[in-house]
Formats: sequence, structure tokens, C-alpha cells
Amino acid sequence: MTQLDRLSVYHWLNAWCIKPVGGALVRQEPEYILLALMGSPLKKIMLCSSEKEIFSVEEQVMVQHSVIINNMIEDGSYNHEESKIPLDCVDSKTLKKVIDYCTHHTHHHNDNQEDLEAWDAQFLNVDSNGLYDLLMAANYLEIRNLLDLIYGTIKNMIKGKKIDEIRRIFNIKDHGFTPEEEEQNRKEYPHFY
Amino acid sequence: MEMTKRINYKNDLPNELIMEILTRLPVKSLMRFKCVSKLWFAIISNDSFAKSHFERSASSSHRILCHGDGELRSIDPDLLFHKDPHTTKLSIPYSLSAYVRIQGSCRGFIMLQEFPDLVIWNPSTGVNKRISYDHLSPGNLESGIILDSFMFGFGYDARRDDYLAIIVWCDVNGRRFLEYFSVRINKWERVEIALPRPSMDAAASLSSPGYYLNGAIHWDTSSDSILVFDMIEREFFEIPLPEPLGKEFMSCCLELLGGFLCLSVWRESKKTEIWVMKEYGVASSWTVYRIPKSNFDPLYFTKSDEIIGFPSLGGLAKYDEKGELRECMENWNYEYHFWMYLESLLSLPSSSGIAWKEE
Repeated sequence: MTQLDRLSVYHWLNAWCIKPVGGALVRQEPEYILLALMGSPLKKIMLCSSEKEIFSVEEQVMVQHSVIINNMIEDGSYNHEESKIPLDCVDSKTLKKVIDYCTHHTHHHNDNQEDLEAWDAQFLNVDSNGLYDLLMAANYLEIRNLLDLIYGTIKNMIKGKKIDEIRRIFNIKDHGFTPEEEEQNRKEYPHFY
Repeated sequence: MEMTKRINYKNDLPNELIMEILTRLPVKSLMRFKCVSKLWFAIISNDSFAKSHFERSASSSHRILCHGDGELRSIDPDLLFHKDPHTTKLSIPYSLSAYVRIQGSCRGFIMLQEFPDLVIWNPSTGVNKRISYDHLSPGNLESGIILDSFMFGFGYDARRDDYLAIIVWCDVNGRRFLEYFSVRINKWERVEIALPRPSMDAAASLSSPGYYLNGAIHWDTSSDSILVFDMIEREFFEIPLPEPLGKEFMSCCLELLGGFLCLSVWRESKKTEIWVMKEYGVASSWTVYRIPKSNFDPLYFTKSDEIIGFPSLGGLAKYDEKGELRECMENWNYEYHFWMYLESLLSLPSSSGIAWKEE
């Protein structure tokens, strides 16, 4: 029998509360109610960035979004009492963003499409390093919807662009064509460049 | 103008991630991006990439081929009602004449026909292959061929990953033959056949093109059913016309609109009925759209269940499922011939390891 600590009491009360949201009375998520009835607090897990900073986040949030973390929890390799999940290729700034994304999408998944899309657009308003880091982190953690969001954004960024612009965006310094090939391409398709 | 931000300053993106980005782009962008780098060229030209790209984007890459005035143009169906629909002029391969006929399309390929040639052509990439059916000219065969009896078709055999060009023809003794050319085997084969229903023999005619859908080619036969050739089983079947259609109509033409088999029916009344088989092969799924115009010629079926077509008095019109006019436009040249196709990067399988190159 787990001990009820303050966190559990809070969550239990929260679960039974009927909150006003936008003028309507909304009942809390059934999963929360169930968890509260079972007497277990909303479990947290620890994620450790490459800079050795520890982030505590609801297990449910990460498990819903990241295939990698879900697999770790399911196959029992993660011990709640002791361990933290080391994410050596994700720095603190990026990890915070990723957690932010997952948390928002878990708690707001009933929001209407437009609001979610607006939030996503604002979320991706990062500098260029940030987009790359987010992409690599989402890929490593296998967060499907974040990946689709980033790929969709990149696709729109590059769709109609000229070759020189694409090379700049992707930092392609050596295109790999021989000088003759490059010249031939430029001659045959001048409007591409 | 603000410059688009760079995606990375550090290392290059791993190849798998580049592929994920490229796989989401339209064919037109990809053909251009072959020039970005040797790596991008290799990814985009790769057969497996072309296949997975096609599978991913097939439903959203419809184009309309517009044939007339000696020209071939490609139109984006979503831009049909725009003032400037951005049509792209295409060069007819092999300098076929302006009288070339379109005899089928499948997975981004179109089959053009002008005696004695058939040309399988991907307008998005330019890749094409010419096949001669010269051996079927009347002078070359002992028993006379009835030229008027030719029915052409083009389709994909998913089991063998092969494309077949088909000619169904009849000789003076009433015997019917299926002549087919497999791209992989690279030669013509002939088999004597019987059509599923005797009444089809009289009805099958030159004017009916074959429509490829769901692994089969479909022809209009002006009888009580649609003639179907299954590409994998290599057999003929039939799909009966919907019973509620009845027999009292002036004309009933088979069409392929937006991935659905359709029947365009003109009756005595001043309306056109478009019967759409919403679920392939399911007789109860035939749904009628009643267009309040006589002799309406359908062109395209949109994702929002609307039908775009040509009212007989000219122009272009869009009707919804209730038969209400949603949009219309004058100044549409009805003299042209239109054909739906898909954009794809696919290339033809080679029969001996030689890649078929652009003409």
C-alpha cells in the first residue's frame, strides 16, 4: 500500500475537482481519476541532459510521446527509486524544450486543432541551432509527432527555394559535383540557381 | 527579404533525416533538388526512395494532362479555378505528332499511342520507353486483323513489379486475342481469349480507353457491365453496372475520376447523373450525383467530394454532392482532351540491368 504523500493528496483532490475551463465545467481526465483512486501519485521520472542537469517530468507524459522512453519503462530497465535516464546527446536547453512540448501536448490534447497549431508554430520559433538540436533530440527519443512537426516546417522552408539557397540552409559546403558537372547543371537549368 | 535561417551550423544532417525531409517534398521540387549535391542526387534517383515517396504521396499528387492545339500541358487540379493555373508545358517524347492518343496511365506513367508506337512516359521525370506494335499492322499477319477492334490498356502487376502494355484485338474470324508487352521480359506475348460475356464482343471498341485502378484495367463496353483485366491473375472479369441505373438512358460512359470508377449517364431529362463507386468492387457503394445540366462532361473528383466538369454550353463548373453549383468559370477550352495522372519519381524496371534514360 503506497503512502499518501502531499503530492498524491494534491493529485487526488485535483482528480475529483471539476474545474471551470472557458466557461464550461470540465471534468478531469479519467486516467487521473483512476490513478488517484489507485492511490498512487503521478509518477515522475528523471531525465539527465548531456550537461548532467536533471529534469523531473511526469512519466505518463514522456511515455506517451517517446518510443525510446516508453520501451525503457516497459522492459523494466528503469528503476523509479534510483535511476535517471541519461540522455548524453541532448543538452539542457533542448531537453527542456522537448519536455515542454510533450507536457503541453499531453495536457492539452483535447484542445481544438487551431489552438494546438498556433502553439506549435510559436514553439518552433527558435534560432537555427535550436531547430537542428530539436530535430536530433526528437529523432533520438523517437517522438513521432514532434518529428512530423519539424519535418513539415523544414519542408515548407525549402519547397520553392533555389539551389544556392538550399546549400546555405543545409550548410552544404561541398556539393560533390565535379566542376564540369556543376557547370553543365547551371547551363541546362539556370532558373534552378 | 528575410533570409531563411540555416538549419545547422554544426555537423551535416544524417542521411536518414535528409531522406525523411526529401520524402515529404513534391516531385517537382525533388527533380530540381537533384542539383543540390551528389548525395541528394543519389537519394532522389534511388528506386526504393521513389517507391516509398510514391506510396506516401500518391493520393495528393494528382495532375491533369491537357492535350490539344498540338500541345501537352500539365495542370494542378487544385488550381483549375485560379486565374493563372500555372500550367506546365510538356514536350511530347519521341516527337510523336499532335495526333498522339493517350491510352492509359498508372503510377505516374502515361501510355501514348500512335501507330506503330506505344510510348510509356513519366511526364514528371521525362523517363520514357518506346514499344513498337508494328507486328500487328494488317500487312504483317496472315489472318486479317480488324484494326477497329483494338482496345489498349496499361497497368502495373504488383506481384511481379512489372508494367504491361496491352492490346486486345479481334480477327476476321471473330477470334479474340490478348497481346501484352511486359517491360521486364521486353517482348510481346499473345494469348487467345474469350471475353466474360458474348455481348461484349460486339460492344468493345477503339474509342474506349483502359483505366487502371487497384491493380486492374477497366474498359467501357456499352454492355451491362464493365470489362476488367486483373493484372496479377492475368484474367478478365466484369463489374456489373449498378442495378438502380436501369436501362433507360441515352448514354453511359465509364470514367475514372479522382481514384474512383464513375459512370457518366445522360438521360432524356435535362440532368446528368454521375454514379461513383465509392468502395471499389462493392455494388452497394454506387452513389449518384445529380448535376442539373444536360450533357455534363466530368473531369475531376475533388477530395471534398465535389465534381468538376464541363457543362455543354462551355466553361468549367464545380458541383457538390447535393448538385449545387459551387464555382464556375468561363473561358475554358472544351476542345482539349484531358487525362488524369499522378506525379511520381518512379522509373520502369529494367529487363537487363540497363536503366532507361531520358530521350
